[in-house]
Amino acid sequence: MSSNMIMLKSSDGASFEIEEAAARKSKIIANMIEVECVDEDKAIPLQNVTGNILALVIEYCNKHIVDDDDDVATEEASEEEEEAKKKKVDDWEAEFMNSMSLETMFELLLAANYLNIKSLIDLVCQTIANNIKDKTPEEVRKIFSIENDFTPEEEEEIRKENAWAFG
Amino acid sequence: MTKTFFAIKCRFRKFVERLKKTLRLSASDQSHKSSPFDSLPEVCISIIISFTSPRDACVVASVSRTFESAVKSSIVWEKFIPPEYPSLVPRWQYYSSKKELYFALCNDSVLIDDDNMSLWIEKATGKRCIMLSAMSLTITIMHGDSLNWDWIPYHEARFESVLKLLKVRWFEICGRMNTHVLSPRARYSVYIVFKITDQYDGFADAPIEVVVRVVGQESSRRSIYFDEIIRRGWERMGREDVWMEIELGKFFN
Repeated sequence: MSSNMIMLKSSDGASFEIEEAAARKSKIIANMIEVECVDEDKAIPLQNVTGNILALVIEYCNKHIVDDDDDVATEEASEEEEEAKKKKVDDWEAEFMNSMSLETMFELLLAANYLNIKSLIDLVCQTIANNIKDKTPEEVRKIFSIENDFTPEEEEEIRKENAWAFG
Repeated sequence: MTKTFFAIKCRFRKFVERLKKTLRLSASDQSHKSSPFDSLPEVCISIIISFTSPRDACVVASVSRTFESAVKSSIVWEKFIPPEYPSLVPRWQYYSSKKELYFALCNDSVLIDDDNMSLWIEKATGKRCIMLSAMSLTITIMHGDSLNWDWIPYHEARFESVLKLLKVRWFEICGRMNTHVLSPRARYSVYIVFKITDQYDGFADAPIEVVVRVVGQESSRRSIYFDEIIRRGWERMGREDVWMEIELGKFFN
């Protein structure tokens, strides 16, 4: 496998080296590579991503590029092996998400959205969604410090509209 | 004159509302921390909600205006609609949004598998539910009993006709289906749906043996006293012409 390395530069000036194959997980960077916008000696500046978040993004991409390679190498792996591998990835992802604060999670989601990394967007959204499931609107507001900007009448109306869900 | 007065009144109301909002904002400025959701594009909020459930989506619509708007997105409801559904919905039916289509699929079932099955989705979870038509069941009766059942057209039922048992001493009803039609990783209950006619004699308080079996899983077998359940149903709903259902067992798909 060709392991071209490319450089990424965060908004706060930190530089990271990453394998091209891993960086291609980001549709934005993949596009840049396609149209040859990437100068080998120059780092790609990522205006909207800070260094600590970019480090997490790169950790995720590196982890998943290895998994993708494994898939190619053992195309005829048995079902159990596939399952074991999937479990390993799931465990890693759970651990990865567990290690960060809610605040970091949202920053990571913004970065994944900006870089267009679909699987990472889904992973973070799923984790945030787990904090919303089976909660009342009051609980959701409290967990995420969300301001209730409805007038009492509006809130009553929308609750009435969805009354079945509160049953 | 009335018009002008109305206009002034309107403007005054708007002014009061704006004032209220400003007051609320300044009050919350002191006490309110900013939310991490404030910086997210609405599309991300919609994706997050799409990972909850239809019930959760309708609950969190009352969190804030942004949530209300994010819940309306087709991103959310597309995820809740089973993937094969677009091909099942009659083309002449028009829905203005994916959300509207979702609720239509919950309220109206569609016939599939040569009209032998009716399929709908459960509102709260978005999981698929199936009803087998009586036509697709295998019914065995005691040898020697003749003229013991009849197929009757029944317009208020989902299927064209239903089976009417007339006089039987012993019978067995067996239904089979492919569990692929059901939603994966969901807990299901199996029910028999029936109606009692005026000529109902009952089962002489005898237990009825019911078995629910999924290939590759341990089967559940138990005895149910139908007569007792029917009597309780009558006490609750009256002896009217109502469909009753009795749970036969549960399984995990």
